[in-house]
Amino acid sequence: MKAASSPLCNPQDHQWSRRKMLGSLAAGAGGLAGLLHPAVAETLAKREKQVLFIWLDGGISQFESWDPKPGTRFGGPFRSIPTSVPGTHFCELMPRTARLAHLLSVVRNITTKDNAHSSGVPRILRGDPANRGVKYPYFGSAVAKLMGAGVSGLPPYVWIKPGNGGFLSENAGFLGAKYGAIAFGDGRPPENFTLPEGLATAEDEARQLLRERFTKSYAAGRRAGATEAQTTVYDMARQLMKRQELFDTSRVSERDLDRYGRSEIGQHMLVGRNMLEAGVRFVQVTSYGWDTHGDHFNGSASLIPKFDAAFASIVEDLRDRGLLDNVLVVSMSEFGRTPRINGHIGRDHYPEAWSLAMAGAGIARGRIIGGTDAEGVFVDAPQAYDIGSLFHTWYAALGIDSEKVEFMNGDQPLPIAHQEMAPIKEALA
Amino acid sequence: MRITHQPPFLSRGPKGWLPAILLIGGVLAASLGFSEDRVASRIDALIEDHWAGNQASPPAGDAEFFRRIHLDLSGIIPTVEETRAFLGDSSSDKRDRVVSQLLDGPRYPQRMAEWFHVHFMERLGDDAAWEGWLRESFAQNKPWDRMAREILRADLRDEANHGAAYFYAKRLENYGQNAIDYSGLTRDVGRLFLGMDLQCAECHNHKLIDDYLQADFQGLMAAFQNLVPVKDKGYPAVEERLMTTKMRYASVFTQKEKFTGPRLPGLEEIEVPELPKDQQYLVAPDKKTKTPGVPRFSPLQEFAARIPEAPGFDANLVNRVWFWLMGRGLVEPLDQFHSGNPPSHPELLNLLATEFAAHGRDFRWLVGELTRTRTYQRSSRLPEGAREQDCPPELYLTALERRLSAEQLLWSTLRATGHQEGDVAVENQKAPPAEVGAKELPGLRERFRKALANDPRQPELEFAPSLKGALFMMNDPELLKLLDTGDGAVVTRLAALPDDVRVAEELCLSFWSRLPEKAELENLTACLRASSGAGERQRMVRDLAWGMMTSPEFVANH
Amino acid sequence: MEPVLQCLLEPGQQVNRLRFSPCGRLLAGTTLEGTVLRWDLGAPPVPDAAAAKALAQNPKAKVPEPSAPPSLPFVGGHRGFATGLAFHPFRDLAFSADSWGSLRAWPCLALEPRPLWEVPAAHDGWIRDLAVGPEGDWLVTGGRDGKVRIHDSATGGLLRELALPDGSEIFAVAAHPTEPWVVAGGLFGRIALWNALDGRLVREFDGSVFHLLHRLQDIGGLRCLGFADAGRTLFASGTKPKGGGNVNGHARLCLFDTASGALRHEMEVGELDKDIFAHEAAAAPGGLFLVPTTGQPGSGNFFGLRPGEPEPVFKFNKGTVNCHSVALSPDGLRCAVAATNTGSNGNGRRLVDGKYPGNFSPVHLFRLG
Repeated sequence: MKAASSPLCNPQDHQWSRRKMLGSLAAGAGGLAGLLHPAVAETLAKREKQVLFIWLDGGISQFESWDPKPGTRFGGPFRSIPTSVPGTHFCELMPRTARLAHLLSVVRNITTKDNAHSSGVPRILRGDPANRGVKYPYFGSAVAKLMGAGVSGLPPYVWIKPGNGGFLSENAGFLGAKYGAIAFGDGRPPENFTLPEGLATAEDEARQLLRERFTKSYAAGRRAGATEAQTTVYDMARQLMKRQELFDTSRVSERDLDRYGRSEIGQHMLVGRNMLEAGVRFVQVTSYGWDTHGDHFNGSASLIPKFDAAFASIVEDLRDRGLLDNVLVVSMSEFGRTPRINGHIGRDHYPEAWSLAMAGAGIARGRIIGGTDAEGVFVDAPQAYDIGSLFHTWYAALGIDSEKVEFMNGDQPLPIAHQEMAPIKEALA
Repeated sequence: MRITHQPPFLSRGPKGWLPAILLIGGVLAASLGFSEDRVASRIDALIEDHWAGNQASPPAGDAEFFRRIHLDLSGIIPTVEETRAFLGDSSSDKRDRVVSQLLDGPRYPQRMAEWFHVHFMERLGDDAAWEGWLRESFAQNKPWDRMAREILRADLRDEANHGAAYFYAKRLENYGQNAIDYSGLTRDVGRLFLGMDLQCAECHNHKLIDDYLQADFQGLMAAFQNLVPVKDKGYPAVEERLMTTKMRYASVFTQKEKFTGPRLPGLEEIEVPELPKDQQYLVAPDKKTKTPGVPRFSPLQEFAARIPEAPGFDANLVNRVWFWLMGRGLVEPLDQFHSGNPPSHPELLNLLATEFAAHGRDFRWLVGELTRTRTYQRSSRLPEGAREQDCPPELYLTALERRLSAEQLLWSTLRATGHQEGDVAVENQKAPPAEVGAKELPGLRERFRKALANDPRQPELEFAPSLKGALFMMNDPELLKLLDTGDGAVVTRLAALPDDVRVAEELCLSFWSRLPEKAELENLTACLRASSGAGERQRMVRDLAWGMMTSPEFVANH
Repeated sequence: MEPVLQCLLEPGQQVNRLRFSPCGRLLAGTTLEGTVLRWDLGAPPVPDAAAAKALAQNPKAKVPEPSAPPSLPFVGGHRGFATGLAFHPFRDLAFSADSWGSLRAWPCLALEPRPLWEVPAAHDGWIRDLAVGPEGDWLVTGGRDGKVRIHDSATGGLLRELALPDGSEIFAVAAHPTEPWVVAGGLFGRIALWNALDGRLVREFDGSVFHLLHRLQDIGGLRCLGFADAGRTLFASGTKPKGGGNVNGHARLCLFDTASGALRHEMEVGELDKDIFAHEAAAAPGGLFLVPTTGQPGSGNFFGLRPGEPEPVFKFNKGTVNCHSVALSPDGLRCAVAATNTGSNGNGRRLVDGKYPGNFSPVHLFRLG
C-alpha cells in the first residue's frame, strides 16, 4: 500500500500556488487553454472522420421515401419522381433529396428481426450482435470508444433530440458510462451552462486545477472507474461551456432557416451542423413522431417534406464545405412500414423489407443497392441485409476493420459487429 | 492484520481447507473483538473462501471506516468534532460501538427511509405520507415481512399505514391518455420484492430464462388488475375492485386461452371464491359519497399474508442490502434471480437469507452484521502492487466505491459547508438545518435531486457522474453560495483563521473527514501562504473547498 | 331508429368514397387501388314492395333477405388512390378524381364505360375531393397542391381557380344545393365559401379545431364538408387531433350556419381515441346525421346523431369496423357504409397460404328507420 506517499501530490507538484497557476494560464501554457479556436476545430474536422446519424423514430415508410411502388396495390396515393441517378425514382415527397441521389447510397434490401419499438430501437442501434451476455453499445458509443473524441475537445457522442436532454449512459452498454450520449433536449444547452455571476474564467481555471489535483491524488492506488467517470463529465462540461455559440441558432441566416425548414427537424439539423463543424465525432439527430399507424398518407405528406428539407440541406452544406468526404451520414429508423394499408389508413411496422440511405465518408455515391418485388412485399435481391451488415459497412466507411478490431470487456474480447455478417461492398466507395 | 500471502494449501481448491479458513477467520474475528459465532465472522469466512491466491486490500483506516459508516447508517458525513474524537479514541472496540450508536442514532430512520425510497420508488415521485411511513417503520425497526405486508396490502382502512399505499398509487397513475400500466406495476413487484424481472414473460414464457413463466407474470398481475387509484384523499390510496372470476390470458405464440387466480411465483394459486352477490362486499361501495367498496375476497390480503413464503423473498432483500453496503450484489443484476444466473456466493446468500429470517427479518440486525464484517471494513485502495484486474469485484478483495444519493450529497454538503451543526433533528425532514432557512431547504433539495438523481425508472446503482451533475457543482449559484454565505459558512469561518495548518486540517476534516497527510499539508499551506490579503485568502480557501467538494473523495462513498 | 342491415357487399379492395347515383340504381365507390367499383341495385328497390309493406305494418316482420346486388365491371384508368366521386344531378354522368391529379367524366351505367373526357393534370398530384354544382354545369375539385378549381362539367375545362387565404392544402370541398357556392377546407382548418361564378370570397368558417401541430407533423383533421337543411347548414367532419404519428384524436362533427358563418354545434362523436376520425358524414332526413368512424385497431362505429341531443340516436357496431364512407340514397331510405375487414392491422409480414394479403372494405347496405 502506498500509505507513505501523499495521495495529493507527485514530487514535481510540490511547489504550486494559485498565483503560479494563474500565471501559467495567462501565458497560454496551461493544459486547457487554446484548445478550441474555431478555425483550428474546422481544420481538424476536415481531417478527421465524423458521423451524422439521423434517426427517424417510429419508422419512416420506405414507400413514401426511398423505394416507391407507385400505381401498385399497396403503392399509396403518391407519384414517384426521377432522381439525379438515371433510372432511379424516389417518392414525390422528397424532391430536394431526389436531386442529390448521386451523392447517396440507398439500400433497398434491408431485412431485420424486430417489429416492436421497445425492443427494436435498442436492437438496431446496438447492431443486434449475437447474444454474449453483455449489453452492446449504441453505434454512437461504439464510435466514441473506437475513434475517441478527436481533438475538438468536445464530447464524442452528442445527441440532439426533442424533449429532455441529459447524459444517457445506458447507451454505452458494457463500454461504461463515459461513452454514453450527451443529449441536448430540443437542441438547447443544458442547465447551469454558464459560470456563476462574479466568477471570472481565470478564477474558474484556478479552482478547476485544484479539483484536478485532488481528483488525481484520490485516484492513486484505486480502481480507475470512478475517477475517470468524474473527470470525463467535468471535462465535457468545461469544453461545452466554452462553446456557447453551438446552441445559438439566432446566428443562423434567414436563408438557412428557410432551406432547412422552420420545423423541429430543420432546427435540430442546424444545431447538428454546428456540432459537426465544431468537430464532434458522432452527432445523432433524432426526430420523433414517425410511427404512422393511422392517417399515414396525410402524415407522410406533412412529415417527409420536412425531413427532405433538413436532410437535403445538410447534405448540400457538407458537400459545399468539402466535408462530405469526412462525414458519414446515415438516415434510418428501427424498421420500415407495411405494404398493406390498414383500416386506419396507416401502415404498421415492417422489418421484412425496407430501405435506408447513406452518404459521405467511405460511402459509394449514386449507388442503389438491392430492391424489393413489384409490390414491395419481399426483398428481390440475391441477399437481404440485416443491421449487422450495416454496422460492418459503417465501420469500413470510417476506416475501422470490423473483422480485426475488437472491444475488450475486461478480459473478454468481443466483436464490434455481428460476426456472421460482412460489409455491404457495393455501398463502399 | 491483512493477509498478504496466502498459505499454499489455500490454492488447492475447495476441498479440505474449509475448516482451516474458518479457523483463520475465527481467529481474525476474535482479534477484532467479534465472537466466533457471529454471522459477521461466518460471512467473512465465506467471502475469503473464494480468494484462492488473490491478495486482498488491508482494512480501511479509521477515518475511511468512520466516513463510510456515517454515510451508510446516517446518510451524512461525520462532523469535524466527531471525526477528531474517533481518531483520538484508542479503545479496541470503537468501531463496534460506533456501529451500534449510529444504528440507534437519530438519523438512522431518515437515512433508511431515503435508501428505501430511492431503491423501491426509483425516482418515480415523492410523497410526504410515504416518506413519513418509511421513517416511522425504520424508527420502530419493523420486520421486513411486516413492511412488505403493509405495502402489498395497501389497506384504505389502515390509517396508521396510509403512506404505504404510495408504492401502488404512484405506479397506478396514468399520464395523459395512456392506460394505467398494470404490467409495469406487476413487473416492479416481481423485481423489487422477489428479485424476478418477469417483464419478458408477460406475453409468453421467457425465451431466455427457463424459470420465468408467463403463468408467474399473469398470476401476479391477477391481483393487481383490479386496483384503481383513489384521488383527492390527501394521502396515497388505492381501491381494490371486486374479483369474481379468474383472469383470462393467452400466449401470443399458441393463442391458447388460459385462466389464473392470483398467485405468487412459486406458490399455489389462490382460489377465487364464488360468493353470492349480497356477500361479495364487506363494505359496499357508495357511488354517491364516492366511498370505495371493500371486497370480501381481497387478492392483496392474500398476497400480503403469503409473501414471506414466496421463494426468494428473503434472498432478494438481503441481496439488495448486501448490494447497498458492499457495492455489488451476490446476485447481479439484482432482479435476475433464476437458475441460469447463480449467486457468486451461494452459501453466503443462503446464510444471510436464513439468518435474516431467523432473526425476525430485523433490518438493524442485518445492517449491523454486515457493517461489522471485515469485508465491509476493507480499504477501497487496491492491495499494494496489485492491478485493477487482479481484484475482480465479485471477490470483494477491495471495498468497492459506491454512489452517493442526491440526499446523501445534500446533507453532507450542508454539513461540510458549515450549515448543519451536530445532530440537527431530522426526524421531520422539513425541519431546516441550522443555517439554511426553512424556505431554502426544499428548493435546495429539489436542485440536488434534479442534478444528481437519475431519471425515473433508472435504478441508481452505480457511481455514474453526469454532465448535468458536473454543471450543477460548477455553476449552480445556490449551491456555491453555501460555501461562503452565512455565519457558519466554512469558507468565511476558515479564511478568518490565521493558522494555515489549522485551516488546511479543518478543510480536510470538513470535506474528506480525515486529516491531511504530510505532503498534502505542505501543499495546502503553501497555497494559503501564497495568497496575500483578506480577499485573496478568502478566494483561495473557497477554491480549495470547492476543489475538495468536487473531487471523488467527496462525491463517492469509498 | 337503428338502421337495419340488409346485405353486405364484399369487394376485394379498400373503398375511399361511396356514392349512390341520383336515380338510385347505381352504387359506386372509389378505391385505394385506383378503381371505381359499381353495383347495380336493380329496378326493384331494396327491399321489394311486398317486404316494404309487411315491414310498414310490423317493423319486426320477417321478410326474405334481399340478395346482394350484382356488381358491374369496375371502372379503371385512375392511378394512385381514386378519391372524389360525384354524379351529375340528371345526366348519366359520373365524375371521379385520383391522387395523381387526374379528373374524369364517364357514363355511369355503361358496361365498359369510356371516359367522356379526362384531364390528366387537373391538379399537381393528390386531388382530395370533388363536388358537383346544383345545376350540374360545373364541378369543383380541391387538392394537396392548395388549389380549388372549378371545371366545366361538359368538357373538363378549367373555369376558375381559387385558394384558401393561407394557401394550404385542400382536404375537402362541397357545393351548395341551391346557390352557386363552393366551399373548401384545408390543412389548418380554415374553411372558405366562394361564389363559383365570379370567384368572390363570400364567407369564412373557423374549423381550427381540426388542426394540430404535433412535433413535426401538421395534422389536418378535416375530412368532409357538406350542406344540410336545404343549404342552411354547413357541416364539417373529421377529427380533433391529439397527437401525430398514428394520429390520435376524437371524431368531430361541426355544424355552421351558412348565412352567418357561426358555429352552431361542435359534436364529439363516440369516444376519445376510440372513434378517431369521422371520415365522412351524411345529412339524412329529419335532421339526422349519419357518421361512421374509424379508430385503431379494430374500433369504429356507425352513429346516427342529432344536434343538441346528448346521446346518439343510434350506435351500430356489428361489423362496422373502421368505416371510411357513408352514402345516402336519393330517396333517403337507404344508406351504404364502407367499413374495413377485421384484422386489417398488424406488424410484420403475415402470410396467408404463402401470400401477403391486402385489406378490403365490406360495404354495409342499410335500410333506415
